[in-house]
Amino acid sequence: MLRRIVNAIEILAALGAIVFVVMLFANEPGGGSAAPSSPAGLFAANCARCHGARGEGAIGPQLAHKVAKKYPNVADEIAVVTNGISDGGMPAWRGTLTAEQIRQVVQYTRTGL
Amino acid sequence: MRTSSGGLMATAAVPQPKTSVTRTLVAILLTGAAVSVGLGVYANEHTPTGEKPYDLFFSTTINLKVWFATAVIVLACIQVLLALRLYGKVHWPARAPAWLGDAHRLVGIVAFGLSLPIAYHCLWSLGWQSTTTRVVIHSLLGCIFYGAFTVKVLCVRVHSLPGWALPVAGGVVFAVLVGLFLTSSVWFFTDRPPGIPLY
Repeated sequence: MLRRIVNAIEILAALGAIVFVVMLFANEPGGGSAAPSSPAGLFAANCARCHGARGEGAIGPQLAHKVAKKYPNVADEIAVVTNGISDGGMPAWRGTLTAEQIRQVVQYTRTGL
Repeated sequence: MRTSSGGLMATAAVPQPKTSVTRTLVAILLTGAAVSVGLGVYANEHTPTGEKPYDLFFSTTINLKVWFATAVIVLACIQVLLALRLYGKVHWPARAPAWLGDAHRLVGIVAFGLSLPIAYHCLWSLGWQSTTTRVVIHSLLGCIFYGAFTVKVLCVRVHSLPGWALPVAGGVVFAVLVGLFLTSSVWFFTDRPPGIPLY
């Protein structure tokens, strides 16, 4: 009896694995079409994974409607993005993004989210 | 296999040509490697969505993943203990119940099922990451895990392999899983940024 149940669950798990693969390729989000070089695209490609697709926060803190209040001076936010926060989980983005890209994405977090 | 007298002979007594066994092993390893590389390529090429597609009763998808991963590692530990009893490496209970093998399978299947929503979010929403050492190791182990799991499942299904193949494959899967747990859930429990809820 247990073996039959296990066999049935195994088939379900195999179906789950198939659905998993199909979903990876079939489930493109509506907001994923931003050009990678645009500020929105830069945010989606580099920041959204921690701060959420709309900057609402996830493993990283919420940015939308908050970051400009936390850093009234835009240069302070640029410094954080450039150099990271060593004990806060925020990586340094210099070397990955150019200074201009960092400036663009910072501006996007302040006015585009 | 049946003997000339009509009795059943243990399958282990059927000698396999060494080259055939080696080829089978290589084919299994290549299949696992293909799965790992395929996932790695997808994670690297797919533009991460940053979406949080499900959270059930948790605060966010990240919290769901952390606790699902914890459940997976607990189930994996149970599976290792069951495997040790199946192989006679531990002797409790003194008489192994007949359902032990099925229980081992069931625990593994449930653990695999719980891992899928975790992996889906990692691949589809986060993608390959290289911003810190932790996330590089986690990305790498995540891709290796499903390749190693594929190898393990194939080692179960292919009966002509040497006796050490299945325990080694299972051990590798478990070791990779522990690495994944350390670089995700344990990090979350101990070092998550302030203000992020536990559940």
